[in-house]
Amino acid sequence: MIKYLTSILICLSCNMLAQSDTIQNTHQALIKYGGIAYNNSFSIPLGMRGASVGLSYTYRRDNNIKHRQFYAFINGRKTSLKNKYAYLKDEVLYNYLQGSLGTGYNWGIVNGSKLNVLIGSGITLEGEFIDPTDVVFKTLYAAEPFGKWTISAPINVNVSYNIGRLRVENLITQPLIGIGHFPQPPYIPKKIPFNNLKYYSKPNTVVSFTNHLLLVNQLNISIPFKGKRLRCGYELSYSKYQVSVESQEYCQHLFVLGIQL
Amino acid sequence: MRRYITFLILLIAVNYSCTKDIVDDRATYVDVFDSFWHIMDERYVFFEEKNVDWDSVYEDYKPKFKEVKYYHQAIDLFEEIILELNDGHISVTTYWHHVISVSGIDTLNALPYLNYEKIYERYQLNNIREYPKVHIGQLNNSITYLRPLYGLDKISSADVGLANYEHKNGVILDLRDCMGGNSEGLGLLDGFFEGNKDLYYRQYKNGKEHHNFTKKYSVKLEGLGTVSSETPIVVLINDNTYSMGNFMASVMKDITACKLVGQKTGGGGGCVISVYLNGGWSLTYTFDRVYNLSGELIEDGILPDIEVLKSKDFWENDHQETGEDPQLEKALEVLLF
Repeated sequence: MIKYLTSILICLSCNMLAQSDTIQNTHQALIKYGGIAYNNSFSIPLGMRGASVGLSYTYRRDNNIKHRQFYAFINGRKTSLKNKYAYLKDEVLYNYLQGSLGTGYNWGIVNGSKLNVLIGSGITLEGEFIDPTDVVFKTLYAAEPFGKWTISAPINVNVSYNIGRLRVENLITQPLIGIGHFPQPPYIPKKIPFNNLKYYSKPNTVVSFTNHLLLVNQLNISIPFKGKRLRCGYELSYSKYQVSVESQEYCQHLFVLGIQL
Repeated sequence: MRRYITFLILLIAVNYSCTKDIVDDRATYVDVFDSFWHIMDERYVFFEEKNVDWDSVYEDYKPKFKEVKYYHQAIDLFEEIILELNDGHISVTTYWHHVISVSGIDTLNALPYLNYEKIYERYQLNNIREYPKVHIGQLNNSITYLRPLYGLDKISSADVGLANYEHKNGVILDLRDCMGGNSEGLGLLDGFFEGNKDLYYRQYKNGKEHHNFTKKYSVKLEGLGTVSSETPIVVLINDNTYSMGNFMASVMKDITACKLVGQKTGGGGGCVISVYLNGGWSLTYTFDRVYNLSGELIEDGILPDIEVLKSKDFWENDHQETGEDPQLEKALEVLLF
């Protein structure tokens, strides 16, 4: 019996050791600040610039034996768009809200002590909405909001490189294929009265990398600090789509600061 | 490490260079004209109906805008172009909030607004309920009077209690001076029919060429049947019946056996959107086309079945003083005799 219990304890302790070695959970919270240049063909054809603030949280679970990484994230950004020449030039004309959440797996294809490359995919829900402020309604006769949402499978390429205590990571994502609701005729409901929620929740477009570019490049440098890692970096997003009659294009750059537990 | 810093700097440089292509910050008068012309060229839907050669507008006016030095000169040129387009839905608003539109320029021929206070008093409209965008009341001889106002938004006839009014001898829908509103304002008409009916068709641009249009989409409404199909209906229209008012007149003509009394409507067959132009100016334009159920455009207005014309002088003087309203009198005559 003692032998049996001892063997169980040895097995358990081995398993615990293996667990702590193979499974690594990390929580990462980031705050982002930067700017955007934005246009859409429907309501802001000549484009506007704005300041963006964002928050993001990412959970990662790395299996160091199988070189597999599970991730889940949630992002939110708010941008205040202004027109350099608007009558009230210091006023915010449009609030641009962007949000995304998703989950997926990445697999290691290069697993070195310094260089690691992971490639993967998952599912991402992202949505955005441009809402005219009261200032716009005072200065324009008929202002219109603009927005879209997509559910897509992205491709993720994550390259990390250790230089001493520093770790440099670069993550690129781009949706490969998905569905979503994009602004396209008829803009005004086919039925009166108009049920907004029902109309906008229905997907009306199949998207792929051919008609919907949403390229996000996150470059991060992290250093260890009191058992945690401090992160700083730069995120560049470039998006362009042409669906039906309407198109949208933006270039957003964000400076990133955060902590990884 | 140096490579990564170089990469980071390169990324930032690429980013700033691409933002220049996304936002157009130019702001001279000729830039304002350029942005106006190009947006209209790609998005406006009635060039053919207005018989306007838009390319020659560019050729004629671009050199003129290049010569513009003062604000009022730019306004004068935009006034000329807008008069040429002759579409009440189009307006250009300057940086200083001066609105350039047909109604603002061509004021000589415009009819004055009716004096409804005097009309209600003279024709003994009682049990009046004045909602923010709709007036409803009872006329003698069991006739209901319903009047949508400018800016009417999402509504149903049940919201104004149409069923509570006596309409044994008919209903008068007064669309005169109804200069427009939201297309969901057409919900007010749900009391005039039963079942799910097509009201009208919409068509949108689907390309940059002037003839690039989508298919026609029908717009439907569920009727409440408050007013029976046997009840006689008169719809009053005049030159100030525009946009949503014009839609309503067209719909009533298509889905009921009503008589249109008054003058030809001012027209307006589409919905508008506003966008900023260069230099903080802005443009409002029609971005879709509305057809009646026979497939005819309603942009040019709806003709009355019974025309009642009075001079501008009458509406400006006699009517304003006494409330005398020959068009309403004709409507009562149609319903009662």
